[in-house]
Amino acid sequence: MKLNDEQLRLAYVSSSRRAPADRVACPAPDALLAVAERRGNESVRLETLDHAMACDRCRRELELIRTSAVAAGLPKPRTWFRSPSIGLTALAASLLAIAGVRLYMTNGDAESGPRLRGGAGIVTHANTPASGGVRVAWRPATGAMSYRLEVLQAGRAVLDTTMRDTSFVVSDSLVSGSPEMLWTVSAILDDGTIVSSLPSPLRSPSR
Amino acid sequence: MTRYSGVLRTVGARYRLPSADLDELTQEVRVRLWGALSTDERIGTVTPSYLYRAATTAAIDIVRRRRAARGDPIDEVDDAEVSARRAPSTPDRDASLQELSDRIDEALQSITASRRPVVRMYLAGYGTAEIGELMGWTEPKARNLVYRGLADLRQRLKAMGIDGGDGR
Repeated sequence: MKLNDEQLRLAYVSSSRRAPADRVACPAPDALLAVAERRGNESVRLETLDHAMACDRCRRELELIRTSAVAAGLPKPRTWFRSPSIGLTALAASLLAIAGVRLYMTNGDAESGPRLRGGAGIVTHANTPASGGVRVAWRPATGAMSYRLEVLQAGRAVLDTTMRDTSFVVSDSLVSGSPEMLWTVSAILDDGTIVSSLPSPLRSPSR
Repeated sequence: MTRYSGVLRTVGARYRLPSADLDELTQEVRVRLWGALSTDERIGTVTPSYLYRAATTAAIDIVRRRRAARGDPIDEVDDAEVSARRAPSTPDRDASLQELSDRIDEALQSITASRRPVVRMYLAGYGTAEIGELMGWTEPKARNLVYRGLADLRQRLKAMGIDGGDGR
């Protein structure tokens, strides 16, 4: 039997409780706070997180601390962007980039018409009816190793699947009678980068 | 304090925190603020950084108290989301799932240390956006690490004779 992500998740969470008999190996509460605050060395935080995700007690403690910190207004980590001069430079560069992209898109439309439905990353095609559902499709991305398709309803993923094909039939049972749904696809490229399409509406052909 | 309690409930629900923990945390913060400031007027004027310190030290103290106490209540409260994801229990199914889960744990031990916690989070039901938020990464970076970590996991499972699929 081949296991998809959901089956792996089910097996993982179905384990009997992952709780050590004693807390000798558990990280100190302050280490959990450092994870929640994103403070300190990343490799140390990953080590703490690795333990916390394998230990039910620490995981719950981490969520307790994290909830408290976030609800009270987690301080934003200091980044280069908080420097006013660099921030202004970055803002100016962003505006230039947006203007450039806008110019490029305008020129593209003039030459070939408004045929692109997706973002710059992946171009999607219009939905078509298919046996048992709605077919969604997209153009192959250069260097793509796989594609991740997500169908969203009210901001939540109701379908999340990874494949190598460039089309997929979304079951009618998922689409029919559901409120407005969106779909988006991301390509995982061979150099590890990810490019995505803009979300597009997903409608049942019968509607 | 009322505003903080409301936000606490919203955030707690998002992070799957049991309501018992939320109640305890709210009470602990309330006691601290009242102990230090005595009146509603003064509590209403606390600065965000003061509230932040009060809230985080309250959480840390709850954790310390639980660790020091015998009969840790953490075992007694089930994770509602995890329970909901479980299919109806049968002895055969439980045994095979437990065996598969043990193999997954074993396989996880051998994957790259930097990817392991990310994969654990993903398998435990966290989304890539939440993983990125916790680690201070962008969502694409978190997604990439999850993708690579799951590929490692599937490779290890395959070496153990379990076809971990290809994510389809």
